[in-house]
Amino acid sequence: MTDLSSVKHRLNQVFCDVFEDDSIEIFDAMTAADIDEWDSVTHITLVLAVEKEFGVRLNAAEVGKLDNVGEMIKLLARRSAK
Amino acid sequence: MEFGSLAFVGLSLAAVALLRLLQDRTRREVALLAINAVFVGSFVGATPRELLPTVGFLVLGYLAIRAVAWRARLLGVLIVAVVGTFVWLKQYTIIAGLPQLSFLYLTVGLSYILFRILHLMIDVSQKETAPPSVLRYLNYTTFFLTFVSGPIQRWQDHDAQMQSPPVEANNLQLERGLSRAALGYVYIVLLDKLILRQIPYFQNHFQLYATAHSWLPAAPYLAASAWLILLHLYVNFAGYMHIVIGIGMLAGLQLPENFNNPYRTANFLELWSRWHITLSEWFKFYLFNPLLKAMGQRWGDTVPMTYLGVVSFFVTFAVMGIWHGTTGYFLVFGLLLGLGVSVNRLWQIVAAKRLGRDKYRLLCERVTYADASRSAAIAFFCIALTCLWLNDSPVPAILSPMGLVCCVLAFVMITVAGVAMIAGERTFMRALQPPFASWIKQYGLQADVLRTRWIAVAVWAVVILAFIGNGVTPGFVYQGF
Repeated sequence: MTDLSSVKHRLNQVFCDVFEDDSIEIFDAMTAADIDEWDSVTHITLVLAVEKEFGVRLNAAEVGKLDNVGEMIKLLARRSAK
Repeated sequence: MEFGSLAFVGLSLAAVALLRLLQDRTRREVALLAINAVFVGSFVGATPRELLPTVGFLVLGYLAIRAVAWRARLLGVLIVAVVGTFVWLKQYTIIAGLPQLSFLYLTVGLSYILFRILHLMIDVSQKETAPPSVLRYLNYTTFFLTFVSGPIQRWQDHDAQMQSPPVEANNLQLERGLSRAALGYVYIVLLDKLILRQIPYFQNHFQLYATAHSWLPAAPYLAASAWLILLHLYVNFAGYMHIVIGIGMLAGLQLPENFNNPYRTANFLELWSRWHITLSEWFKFYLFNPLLKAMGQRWGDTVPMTYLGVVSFFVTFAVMGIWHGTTGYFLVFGLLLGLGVSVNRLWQIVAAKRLGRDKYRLLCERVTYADASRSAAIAFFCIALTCLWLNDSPVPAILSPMGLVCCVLAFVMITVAGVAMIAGERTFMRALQPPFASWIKQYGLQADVLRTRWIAVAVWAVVILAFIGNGVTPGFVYQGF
Protein backbone atom coordinates (compact mmCIF):
# COMPACT_ATOMS: atom_id res chain seq x y z
CA MET A 1 0.00 0.00 0.00
CA THR A 2 1.20 3.52 -0.81
CA ASP A 3 2.52 5.43 2.19
CA LEU A 4 -0.39 7.27 3.84
CA SER A 5 1.70 10.30 4.76
CA SER A 6 2.86 10.74 1.18
CA VAL A 7 -0.74 10.53 -0.03
CA LYS A 8 -1.74 13.07 2.61
CA HIS A 9 1.02 15.44 1.53
CA ARG A 10 0.00 15.27 -2.14
CA LEU A 11 -3.67 15.58 -1.26
CA ASN A 12 -2.95 18.67 0.84
CA GLN A 13 -1.45 20.34 -2.22
CA VAL A 14 -4.56 19.45 -4.26
CA PHE A 15 -6.76 21.06 -1.59
CA CYS A 16 -4.61 24.22 -1.59
CA ASP A 17 -4.89 24.47 -5.39
CA VAL A 18 -8.62 23.78 -5.60
CA PHE A 19 -9.59 26.12 -2.77
CA GLU A 20 -6.91 28.68 -3.73
CA ASP A 21 -5.66 28.83 -0.16
CA ASP A 22 -2.08 27.85 0.70
CA SER A 23 -2.80 27.88 4.42
CA ILE A 24 -5.03 24.77 4.31
CA GLU A 25 -3.76 21.93 6.50
CA ILE A 26 -5.88 18.84 5.95
CA PHE A 27 -6.64 16.40 8.79
CA ASP A 28 -8.37 13.00 8.86
CA ALA A 29 -11.64 14.20 10.40
CA MET A 30 -11.89 17.17 8.02
CA THR A 31 -15.21 17.42 6.17
CA ALA A 32 -17.00 19.92 3.95
CA ALA A 33 -18.18 21.66 7.11
CA ASP A 34 -14.57 22.74 7.83
CA ILE A 35 -14.09 24.63 4.56
CA ASP A 36 -16.69 27.25 3.63
CA GLU A 37 -16.08 26.90 -0.10
CA TRP A 38 -16.44 23.08 -0.08
CA ASP A 39 -19.87 22.71 -1.71
CA SER A 40 -21.33 20.30 -4.29
CA VAL A 41 -19.56 22.01 -7.19
CA THR A 42 -16.12 22.37 -5.59
CA HIS A 43 -16.50 18.76 -4.45
CA ILE A 44 -16.49 17.63 -8.08
CA THR A 45 -13.67 20.09 -8.89
CA LEU A 46 -11.76 18.44 -6.05
CA VAL A 47 -12.58 14.94 -7.35
CA LEU A 48 -11.32 15.83 -10.84
CA ALA A 49 -8.11 17.31 -9.40
CA VAL A 50 -7.61 14.24 -7.18
CA GLU A 51 -8.15 11.88 -10.15
CA LYS A 52 -5.57 13.83 -12.16
CA GLU A 53 -2.98 13.98 -9.37
CA PHE A 54 -3.27 10.31 -8.37
CA GLY A 55 -4.06 8.87 -11.81
CA VAL A 56 -7.20 7.10 -10.59
CA ARG A 57 -10.82 6.98 -11.74
CA LEU A 58 -13.39 7.18 -8.94
CA ASN A 59 -16.81 5.59 -9.38
CA ALA A 60 -20.20 7.18 -8.56
CA ALA A 61 -20.43 5.73 -5.05
CA GLU A 62 -16.85 6.73 -4.22
CA VAL A 63 -17.43 10.28 -5.46
CA GLY A 64 -20.61 10.50 -3.41
CA LYS A 65 -19.02 9.19 -0.23
CA LEU A 66 -15.79 11.21 -0.39
CA ASP A 67 -16.75 13.81 2.17
CA ASN A 68 -14.17 12.97 4.79
CA VAL A 69 -10.43 13.53 4.24
CA GLY A 70 -9.39 10.45 6.25
CA GLU A 71 -11.56 8.19 4.07
CA MET A 72 -10.22 9.94 0.98
CA ILE A 73 -6.60 9.28 2.00
CA LYS A 74 -7.30 5.60 2.68
CA LEU A 75 -9.15 5.18 -0.61
CA LEU A 76 -6.41 6.90 -2.60
CA ALA A 77 -3.67 4.87 -0.91
CA ARG A 78 -5.59 1.69 -1.73
CA ARG A 79 -6.32 2.67 -5.32
CA SER A 80 -2.85 4.09 -6.06
CA ALA A 81 -1.27 0.84 -4.87
CA LYS A 82 -3.21 -1.21 -7.47
CA MET B 1 -52.84 -0.94 3.05
CA GLU B 2 -53.26 2.45 4.72
CA PHE B 3 -50.56 3.40 7.21
CA GLY B 4 -53.25 4.44 9.66
CA SER B 5 -55.11 1.12 9.47
CA LEU B 6 -55.19 -1.58 12.12
CA ALA B 7 -53.96 -4.03 9.47
CA PHE B 8 -50.77 -1.97 9.07
CA VAL B 9 -50.27 -1.79 12.83
CA GLY B 10 -50.72 -5.59 13.04
CA LEU B 11 -48.33 -6.24 10.15
CA SER B 12 -45.76 -3.89 11.70
CA LEU B 13 -45.98 -5.67 15.06
CA ALA B 14 -45.50 -9.03 13.32
CA ALA B 15 -42.46 -7.64 11.47
CA VAL B 16 -40.96 -6.20 14.67
CA ALA B 17 -41.41 -9.53 16.48
CA LEU B 18 -39.95 -11.61 13.62
CA LEU B 19 -36.98 -9.32 13.00
CA ARG B 20 -36.23 -9.16 16.72
CA LEU B 21 -36.61 -12.87 17.45
CA LEU B 22 -35.24 -14.68 14.40
CA GLN B 23 -31.48 -15.15 14.68
CA ASP B 24 -30.93 -17.08 11.47
CA ARG B 25 -30.30 -14.75 8.52
CA THR B 26 -32.13 -16.84 5.93
CA ARG B 27 -35.17 -17.21 8.18
CA ARG B 28 -35.18 -13.45 8.77
CA GLU B 29 -35.06 -12.81 5.04
CA VAL B 30 -37.83 -15.35 4.31
CA ALA B 31 -40.03 -13.91 7.09
CA LEU B 32 -39.46 -10.38 5.81
CA LEU B 33 -40.32 -11.46 2.27
CA ALA B 34 -43.64 -12.82 3.54
CA ILE B 35 -44.35 -9.52 5.34
CA ASN B 36 -43.43 -7.54 2.22
CA ALA B 37 -45.62 -9.78 0.04
CA VAL B 38 -48.62 -9.23 2.34
CA PHE B 39 -48.05 -5.48 2.28
CA VAL B 40 -47.59 -5.16 -1.49
CA GLY B 41 -50.44 -7.64 -2.12
CA SER B 42 -52.77 -5.49 -0.02
CA PHE B 43 -52.81 -2.87 -2.79
CA VAL B 44 -54.31 -5.35 -5.27
CA GLY B 45 -57.98 -4.64 -5.95
CA ALA B 46 -60.11 -6.89 -8.17
CA THR B 47 -57.59 -9.35 -9.58
CA PRO B 48 -53.97 -10.39 -8.88
CA ARG B 49 -53.23 -9.56 -12.53
CA GLU B 50 -52.97 -5.90 -11.42
CA LEU B 51 -49.65 -6.80 -9.85
CA LEU B 52 -48.13 -8.33 -13.00
CA PRO B 53 -46.45 -5.13 -14.30
CA THR B 54 -44.76 -4.56 -10.91
CA VAL B 55 -43.57 -8.19 -10.87
CA GLY B 56 -42.35 -7.83 -14.47
CA PHE B 57 -40.49 -4.62 -13.59
CA LEU B 58 -38.81 -6.34 -10.64
CA VAL B 59 -37.75 -9.25 -12.89
CA LEU B 60 -36.39 -6.84 -15.52
CA GLY B 61 -34.47 -5.00 -12.79
CA TYR B 62 -32.93 -8.17 -11.44
CA LEU B 63 -31.91 -9.40 -14.90
CA ALA B 64 -30.39 -5.97 -15.63
CA ILE B 65 -28.35 -6.10 -12.40
CA ARG B 66 -27.08 -9.59 -13.27
CA ALA B 67 -26.30 -8.47 -16.82
CA VAL B 68 -24.18 -5.47 -15.73
CA ALA B 69 -22.35 -7.71 -13.26
CA TRP B 70 -21.46 -9.90 -16.25
CA ARG B 71 -20.67 -7.05 -18.69
CA ALA B 72 -20.37 -3.54 -17.22
CA ARG B 73 -20.47 -2.09 -20.74
CA LEU B 74 -24.19 -2.94 -20.92
CA LEU B 75 -24.98 -0.38 -18.22
CA GLY B 76 -26.01 2.48 -20.54
CA VAL B 77 -28.31 0.38 -22.72
CA LEU B 78 -29.90 -1.30 -19.74
CA ILE B 79 -30.50 1.99 -17.92
CA VAL B 80 -32.38 3.16 -21.02
CA ALA B 81 -34.37 -0.10 -21.06
CA VAL B 82 -35.29 0.09 -17.36
CA VAL B 83 -36.15 3.82 -17.41
CA GLY B 84 -38.07 3.33 -20.69
CA THR B 85 -40.12 0.52 -19.15
CA PHE B 86 -40.80 2.72 -16.12
CA VAL B 87 -41.96 5.63 -18.33
CA TRP B 88 -44.22 3.24 -20.26
CA LEU B 89 -45.73 1.66 -17.14
CA LYS B 90 -46.32 5.08 -15.56
CA GLN B 91 -47.85 6.31 -18.87
CA TYR B 92 -46.11 9.69 -19.02
CA THR B 93 -48.57 11.88 -20.95
CA ILE B 94 -45.76 14.27 -21.97
CA ILE B 95 -44.62 11.48 -24.32
CA ALA B 96 -47.23 11.00 -27.00
CA GLY B 97 -48.27 7.63 -28.41
CA LEU B 98 -47.13 5.32 -25.61
CA PRO B 99 -48.81 1.91 -26.05
CA GLN B 100 -51.11 0.92 -23.20
CA LEU B 101 -51.74 -2.35 -21.41
CA SER B 102 -55.27 -3.64 -21.82
CA PHE B 103 -55.98 -3.89 -18.08
CA LEU B 104 -55.76 -1.71 -14.98
CA TYR B 105 -52.65 -2.26 -12.90
CA LEU B 106 -50.80 -1.01 -9.83
CA THR B 107 -48.17 1.69 -10.04
CA VAL B 108 -47.72 2.17 -6.28
CA GLY B 109 -44.04 1.97 -5.33
CA LEU B 110 -42.77 1.78 -8.94
CA SER B 111 -40.84 5.07 -8.68
CA TYR B 112 -38.97 3.93 -5.62
CA ILE B 113 -38.30 0.48 -7.07
CA LEU B 114 -36.75 2.30 -10.05
CA PHE B 115 -34.36 4.27 -7.81
CA ARG B 116 -33.24 1.12 -6.03
CA ILE B 117 -32.75 -0.85 -9.25
CA LEU B 118 -30.71 1.94 -10.88
CA HIS B 119 -28.61 2.35 -7.74
CA LEU B 120 -27.86 -1.39 -7.72
CA MET B 121 -27.15 -1.49 -11.46
CA ILE B 122 -24.64 1.38 -11.25
CA ASP B 123 -22.93 0.15 -8.07
CA VAL B 124 -22.75 -3.45 -9.30
CA SER B 125 -21.36 -2.39 -12.71
CA GLN B 126 -18.70 -0.31 -10.96
CA LYS B 127 -17.79 -3.23 -8.64
CA GLU B 128 -18.89 -1.22 -5.61
CA THR B 129 -21.02 -4.15 -4.49
CA ALA B 130 -21.73 -7.74 -5.56
CA PRO B 131 -25.12 -8.53 -7.17
CA PRO B 132 -27.59 -9.60 -4.46
CA SER B 133 -29.41 -12.93 -4.30
CA VAL B 134 -33.04 -12.93 -5.49
CA LEU B 135 -34.32 -13.06 -1.91
CA ARG B 136 -32.20 -10.14 -0.71
CA TYR B 137 -33.00 -8.15 -3.86
CA LEU B 138 -36.75 -8.58 -3.36
CA ASN B 139 -36.53 -7.61 0.29
CA TYR B 140 -34.59 -4.48 -0.62
CA THR B 141 -36.85 -3.35 -3.47
CA THR B 142 -40.16 -4.14 -1.76
CA PHE B 143 -39.31 -3.51 1.90
CA PHE B 144 -42.73 -2.72 3.38
CA LEU B 145 -41.63 0.30 5.40
CA THR B 146 -40.05 2.06 2.44
CA PHE B 147 -41.97 0.57 -0.51
CA VAL B 148 -44.57 3.31 -0.95
CA SER B 149 -42.38 6.39 -0.75
CA GLY B 150 -38.97 5.82 0.78
CA PRO B 151 -36.81 6.85 2.49
CA ILE B 152 -34.45 5.59 -0.23
CA GLN B 153 -31.92 3.64 1.77
CA ARG B 154 -28.67 2.62 0.10
CA TRP B 155 -28.47 -1.11 -0.59
CA GLN B 156 -25.24 -1.46 1.40
CA ASP B 157 -26.84 0.04 4.53
CA HIS B 158 -30.06 -1.96 4.19
CA ASP B 159 -28.30 -5.26 3.59
CA ALA B 160 -25.71 -4.77 6.36
CA GLN B 161 -28.56 -4.43 8.87
CA MET B 162 -30.44 -7.42 7.50
CA GLN B 163 -27.34 -9.61 7.61
CA SER B 164 -26.42 -8.66 11.18
CA PRO B 165 -27.93 -10.59 14.07
CA PRO B 166 -30.81 -8.69 15.71
CA VAL B 167 -29.66 -6.19 18.33
CA GLU B 168 -31.03 -6.79 21.80
CA ALA B 169 -33.77 -4.25 22.44
CA ASN B 170 -33.42 -1.82 25.31
CA ASN B 171 -36.23 0.21 26.86
CA LEU B 172 -34.97 3.58 25.73
CA GLN B 173 -34.66 2.43 22.12
CA LEU B 174 -38.19 1.02 22.19
CA GLU B 175 -39.55 4.20 23.78
CA ARG B 176 -37.85 6.30 21.14
CA GLY B 177 -39.30 4.14 18.37
CA LEU B 178 -42.77 4.33 19.90
CA SER B 179 -42.67 8.08 20.48
CA ARG B 180 -41.35 8.62 16.95
CA ALA B 181 -44.16 6.56 15.39
CA ALA B 182 -46.72 8.26 17.63
CA LEU B 183 -45.42 11.67 16.63
CA GLY B 184 -46.00 10.66 13.02
CA TYR B 185 -49.62 9.82 13.79
CA VAL B 186 -50.03 13.19 15.53
CA TYR B 187 -48.73 14.92 12.39
CA ILE B 188 -51.22 13.05 10.22
CA VAL B 189 -54.26 12.52 12.40
CA LEU B 190 -54.25 15.98 13.99
CA LEU B 191 -52.11 18.50 12.14
CA ASP B 192 -52.65 17.34 8.57
CA LYS B 193 -56.40 17.04 9.06
CA LEU B 194 -56.48 20.55 10.51
CA ILE B 195 -54.52 21.96 7.57
CA LEU B 196 -56.58 20.07 4.98
CA ARG B 197 -59.77 21.62 6.37
CA GLN B 198 -58.48 25.16 5.73
CA ILE B 199 -57.22 24.67 2.17
CA PRO B 200 -60.54 24.51 0.17
CA TYR B 201 -61.67 27.95 1.38
CA PHE B 202 -58.58 29.69 0.00
CA GLN B 203 -58.35 27.48 -3.10
CA ASN B 204 -61.99 28.05 -4.05
CA HIS B 205 -61.65 31.82 -3.68
CA PHE B 206 -58.49 31.79 -5.77
CA GLN B 207 -60.19 29.70 -8.48
CA LEU B 208 -63.17 32.09 -8.49
CA TYR B 209 -61.01 35.18 -8.97
CA ALA B 210 -58.67 33.42 -11.39
CA THR B 211 -61.56 32.27 -13.58
CA ALA B 212 -62.83 35.87 -13.69
CA HIS B 213 -59.25 37.08 -14.46
CA SER B 214 -59.34 39.27 -11.32
CA TRP B 215 -55.70 38.62 -10.62
CA LEU B 216 -55.00 41.24 -7.96
CA PRO B 217 -57.66 40.05 -5.48
CA ALA B 218 -56.66 36.47 -6.36
CA ALA B 219 -53.07 37.00 -5.14
CA PRO B 220 -53.63 36.72 -1.34
CA TYR B 221 -55.73 33.57 -1.86
CA LEU B 222 -53.02 32.09 -4.08
CA ALA B 223 -50.43 32.93 -1.41
CA ALA B 224 -52.50 31.35 1.38
CA SER B 225 -53.36 28.23 -0.67
CA ALA B 226 -49.78 27.73 -1.83
CA TRP B 227 -48.39 28.12 1.70
CA LEU B 228 -50.99 25.79 3.24
CA ILE B 229 -50.38 23.15 0.57
CA LEU B 230 -46.65 23.18 1.24
CA LEU B 231 -47.41 22.85 4.95
CA HIS B 232 -49.80 19.96 4.18
CA LEU B 233 -47.15 18.21 2.05
CA TYR B 234 -44.55 18.64 4.77
CA VAL B 235 -46.75 17.50 7.66
CA ASN B 236 -48.10 14.56 5.64
CA PHE B 237 -44.77 13.35 4.27
CA ALA B 238 -42.73 14.02 7.43
CA GLY B 239 -45.51 12.39 9.48
CA TYR B 240 -45.35 9.19 7.45
CA MET B 241 -41.57 9.22 7.67
CA HIS B 242 -41.80 9.50 11.48
CA ILE B 243 -44.05 6.42 11.45
CA VAL B 244 -41.82 4.23 9.28
CA ILE B 245 -38.60 5.36 10.97
CA GLY B 246 -40.19 4.74 14.38
CA ILE B 247 -41.34 1.24 13.41
CA GLY B 248 -37.87 0.60 11.98
CA MET B 249 -36.37 1.55 15.37
CA LEU B 250 -38.71 -0.89 17.11
CA ALA B 251 -37.53 -3.63 14.72
CA GLY B 252 -33.88 -2.72 15.39
CA LEU B 253 -33.41 -1.19 11.92
CA GLN B 254 -32.09 2.28 11.25
CA LEU B 255 -33.75 4.00 8.30
CA PRO B 256 -32.24 7.22 6.92
CA GLU B 257 -33.87 10.55 7.78
CA ASN B 258 -35.79 12.29 4.99
CA PHE B 259 -36.27 15.70 6.61
CA ASN B 260 -34.11 18.07 8.59
CA ASN B 261 -36.19 21.12 9.55
CA PRO B 262 -36.68 22.33 5.96
CA TYR B 263 -38.31 25.55 7.18
CA ARG B 264 -34.89 26.48 8.62
CA THR B 265 -33.16 26.42 5.23
CA ALA B 266 -30.73 29.24 4.45
CA ASN B 267 -31.63 29.37 0.75
CA PHE B 268 -33.33 27.43 -2.06
CA LEU B 269 -30.25 25.30 -2.76
CA GLU B 270 -29.89 24.26 0.86
CA LEU B 271 -33.58 23.32 1.00
CA TRP B 272 -32.72 20.12 -0.89
CA SER B 273 -30.41 18.92 1.84
CA ARG B 274 -33.35 19.34 4.24
CA TRP B 275 -36.41 18.23 2.22
CA HIS B 276 -36.79 14.67 0.88
CA ILE B 277 -33.13 14.22 1.68
CA THR B 278 -32.72 10.66 0.41
CA LEU B 279 -34.18 11.58 -2.99
CA SER B 280 -31.85 14.61 -3.25
CA GLU B 281 -28.91 12.41 -2.23
CA TRP B 282 -29.85 9.83 -4.86
CA PHE B 283 -29.97 12.47 -7.59
CA LYS B 284 -26.70 13.95 -6.35
CA PHE B 285 -24.96 10.55 -6.45
CA TYR B 286 -26.30 9.36 -9.78
CA LEU B 287 -27.07 12.46 -11.85
CA PHE B 288 -25.56 15.70 -10.54
CA ASN B 289 -22.09 14.35 -9.70
CA PRO B 290 -21.56 12.22 -12.86
CA LEU B 291 -22.98 14.97 -15.09
CA LEU B 292 -20.82 17.72 -13.60
CA LYS B 293 -17.80 15.42 -13.62
CA ALA B 294 -18.34 14.57 -17.29
CA MET B 295 -18.79 18.24 -18.19
CA GLY B 296 -15.71 19.15 -16.14
CA GLN B 297 -13.62 16.55 -17.98
CA ARG B 298 -14.91 17.81 -21.34
CA TRP B 299 -15.02 21.59 -20.84
CA GLY B 300 -13.38 22.18 -17.43
CA ASP B 301 -10.32 23.84 -18.98
CA THR B 302 -12.31 26.46 -20.87
CA VAL B 303 -15.50 27.00 -18.83
CA PRO B 304 -15.29 27.66 -15.06
CA MET B 305 -16.66 24.76 -13.00
CA THR B 306 -18.98 27.14 -11.16
CA TYR B 307 -20.91 27.81 -14.40
CA LEU B 308 -20.93 24.13 -15.37
CA GLY B 309 -22.33 23.59 -11.86
CA VAL B 310 -25.26 25.89 -12.69
CA VAL B 311 -26.06 23.76 -15.76
CA SER B 312 -25.78 20.56 -13.73
CA PHE B 313 -28.07 21.96 -11.04
CA PHE B 314 -30.63 22.96 -13.66
CA VAL B 315 -30.68 19.54 -15.36
CA THR B 316 -30.77 17.62 -12.06
CA PHE B 317 -33.66 19.60 -10.59
CA ALA B 318 -35.60 19.65 -13.84
CA VAL B 319 -35.39 15.83 -14.01
CA MET B 320 -36.27 15.56 -10.30
CA GLY B 321 -39.37 17.71 -10.87
CA ILE B 322 -40.46 15.74 -13.93
CA TRP B 323 -40.03 12.50 -11.97
CA HIS B 324 -42.76 13.68 -9.58
CA GLY B 325 -45.55 13.18 -12.16
CA THR B 326 -46.53 12.13 -15.62
CA THR B 327 -48.22 15.28 -16.98
CA GLY B 328 -47.01 18.55 -18.49
CA TYR B 329 -47.62 20.34 -15.16
CA PHE B 330 -44.79 18.37 -13.64
CA LEU B 331 -42.55 19.38 -16.52
CA VAL B 332 -43.24 23.03 -15.62
CA PHE B 333 -42.63 22.18 -11.95
CA GLY B 334 -39.28 20.62 -12.86
CA LEU B 335 -38.26 23.61 -14.96
CA LEU B 336 -39.20 25.95 -12.10
CA LEU B 337 -37.11 23.93 -9.64
CA GLY B 338 -34.22 24.02 -12.13
CA LEU B 339 -34.66 27.77 -12.56
CA GLY B 340 -34.76 28.31 -8.79
CA VAL B 341 -31.54 26.46 -8.02
CA SER B 342 -29.74 27.95 -11.05
CA VAL B 343 -30.66 31.54 -10.11
CA ASN B 344 -29.72 30.83 -6.50
CA ARG B 345 -26.33 29.46 -7.56
CA LEU B 346 -25.68 32.33 -9.99
CA TRP B 347 -26.52 34.83 -7.25
CA GLN B 348 -24.00 33.13 -4.94
CA ILE B 349 -21.30 33.31 -7.63
CA VAL B 350 -21.98 36.93 -8.61
CA ALA B 351 -22.40 38.19 -5.03
CA ALA B 352 -19.21 36.46 -3.88
CA LYS B 353 -17.33 37.95 -6.85
CA ARG B 354 -18.69 41.47 -6.44
CA LEU B 355 -18.43 41.67 -2.65
CA GLY B 356 -15.54 39.29 -2.08
CA ARG B 357 -15.91 36.01 -0.19
CA ASP B 358 -15.57 37.49 3.30
CA LYS B 359 -18.09 40.29 2.77
CA TYR B 360 -20.54 37.87 1.15
CA ARG B 361 -20.20 35.54 4.13
CA LEU B 362 -20.86 38.46 6.48
CA LEU B 363 -23.92 39.40 4.42
CA CYS B 364 -25.29 35.85 4.73
CA GLU B 365 -24.85 36.04 8.50
CA ARG B 366 -26.88 39.26 8.82
CA VAL B 367 -30.25 38.50 10.39
CA THR B 368 -32.32 40.53 7.91
CA TYR B 369 -30.62 38.92 4.90
CA ALA B 370 -30.80 35.41 6.39
CA ASP B 371 -34.51 35.76 7.23
CA ALA B 372 -35.35 37.18 3.80
CA SER B 373 -33.33 34.46 2.04
CA ARG B 374 -35.01 31.71 4.03
CA SER B 375 -38.50 33.09 3.45
CA ALA B 376 -37.90 33.70 -0.25
CA ALA B 377 -36.70 30.08 -0.66
CA ILE B 378 -39.87 28.74 0.98
CA ALA B 379 -42.05 31.19 -0.99
CA PHE B 380 -40.52 30.12 -4.30
CA PHE B 381 -41.08 26.46 -3.45
CA CYS B 382 -44.73 27.26 -2.61
CA ILE B 383 -45.25 28.99 -5.95
CA ALA B 384 -43.49 26.21 -7.90
CA LEU B 385 -45.78 23.68 -6.23
CA THR B 386 -48.89 25.43 -7.58
CA CYS B 387 -48.24 23.47 -10.82
CA LEU B 388 -49.23 20.35 -8.92
CA TRP B 389 -52.59 21.52 -7.60
CA LEU B 390 -54.02 24.07 -10.03
CA ASN B 391 -57.02 22.74 -11.92
CA ASP B 392 -56.80 22.72 -15.68
CA SER B 393 -58.72 25.93 -16.38
CA PRO B 394 -56.63 28.64 -14.64
CA VAL B 395 -53.26 27.18 -15.61
CA PRO B 396 -52.98 28.64 -19.12
CA ALA B 397 -54.61 31.84 -17.82
CA ILE B 398 -52.07 32.18 -15.02
CA LEU B 399 -49.38 32.32 -17.68
CA SER B 400 -50.91 35.61 -18.95
CA PRO B 401 -48.99 38.78 -17.93
CA MET B 402 -51.46 39.60 -15.13
CA GLY B 403 -51.51 35.96 -14.01
CA LEU B 404 -47.75 36.08 -13.62
CA VAL B 405 -48.06 39.37 -11.71
CA CYS B 406 -50.45 37.50 -9.37
CA CYS B 407 -47.76 34.82 -8.85
CA VAL B 408 -45.10 37.45 -8.12
CA LEU B 409 -47.43 39.20 -5.67
CA ALA B 410 -48.18 35.91 -3.93
CA PHE B 411 -44.43 35.19 -3.76
CA VAL B 412 -43.82 38.60 -2.12
CA MET B 413 -46.70 38.07 0.32
CA ILE B 414 -45.41 34.66 1.44
CA THR B 415 -41.88 36.06 1.79
CA VAL B 416 -43.01 39.02 3.91
CA ALA B 417 -45.27 36.82 6.07
CA GLY B 418 -42.37 34.36 6.46
CA VAL B 419 -39.99 37.09 7.68
CA ALA B 420 -42.60 38.21 10.21
CA MET B 421 -43.13 34.62 11.42
CA ILE B 422 -39.38 34.02 11.82
CA ALA B 423 -39.06 37.23 13.88
CA GLY B 424 -42.01 36.14 16.01
CA GLU B 425 -40.54 32.68 16.54
CA ARG B 426 -37.18 34.19 17.55
CA THR B 427 -38.83 36.42 20.18
CA PHE B 428 -40.90 33.51 21.49
CA MET B 429 -37.90 31.17 21.76
CA ARG B 430 -35.81 33.83 23.53
CA ALA B 431 -38.52 34.10 26.17
CA LEU B 432 -39.15 30.37 26.46
CA GLN B 433 -35.67 28.88 26.33
CA PRO B 434 -34.12 29.97 29.68
CA PRO B 435 -36.86 28.54 31.94
CA PHE B 436 -37.08 25.36 29.82
CA ALA B 437 -33.29 24.89 29.92
CA SER B 438 -33.15 25.28 33.70
CA TRP B 439 -36.04 22.82 34.08
CA ILE B 440 -34.19 20.25 31.95
CA LYS B 441 -30.95 20.93 33.84
CA GLN B 442 -32.50 19.72 37.09
CA TYR B 443 -32.63 16.20 35.68
CA GLY B 444 -28.97 16.17 34.61
CA LEU B 445 -28.04 13.20 32.42
CA GLN B 446 -31.53 11.75 32.68
CA ALA B 447 -33.06 14.69 30.81
CA ASP B 448 -32.97 12.94 27.45
CA VAL B 449 -34.62 9.80 28.84
CA LEU B 450 -37.28 11.77 30.71
CA ARG B 451 -38.04 13.90 27.70
CA THR B 452 -38.50 10.82 25.51
CA ARG B 453 -40.81 9.21 28.08
CA TRP B 454 -42.92 12.31 28.54
CA ILE B 455 -43.17 12.82 24.80
CA ALA B 456 -44.15 9.16 24.32
CA VAL B 457 -46.89 9.31 26.95
CA ALA B 458 -48.24 12.69 25.85
CA VAL B 459 -48.14 11.87 22.17
CA TRP B 460 -49.84 8.48 22.51
CA ALA B 461 -52.58 10.09 24.62
CA VAL B 462 -53.18 12.60 21.84
CA VAL B 463 -53.15 9.89 19.16
CA ILE B 464 -55.70 7.76 20.98
CA LEU B 465 -57.98 10.78 21.57
CA ALA B 466 -57.61 11.81 17.94
CA PHE B 467 -58.46 8.33 16.66
CA ILE B 468 -61.52 8.15 18.90
CA GLY B 469 -62.76 11.57 17.83
CA ASN B 470 -61.91 11.64 14.15
CA GLY B 471 -61.93 8.36 12.29
CA VAL B 472 -60.34 8.33 8.83
CA THR B 473 -56.69 9.47 8.46
CA PRO B 474 -55.50 11.50 5.44
CA GLY B 475 -53.82 9.40 2.73
CA PHE B 476 -50.12 9.50 1.99
CA VAL B 477 -49.65 12.21 -0.67
CA TYR B 478 -46.29 10.94 -1.90
CA GLN B 479 -47.81 7.54 -2.63
CA GLY B 480 -49.03 9.10 -5.87
CA PHE B 481 -45.53 10.00 -7.11
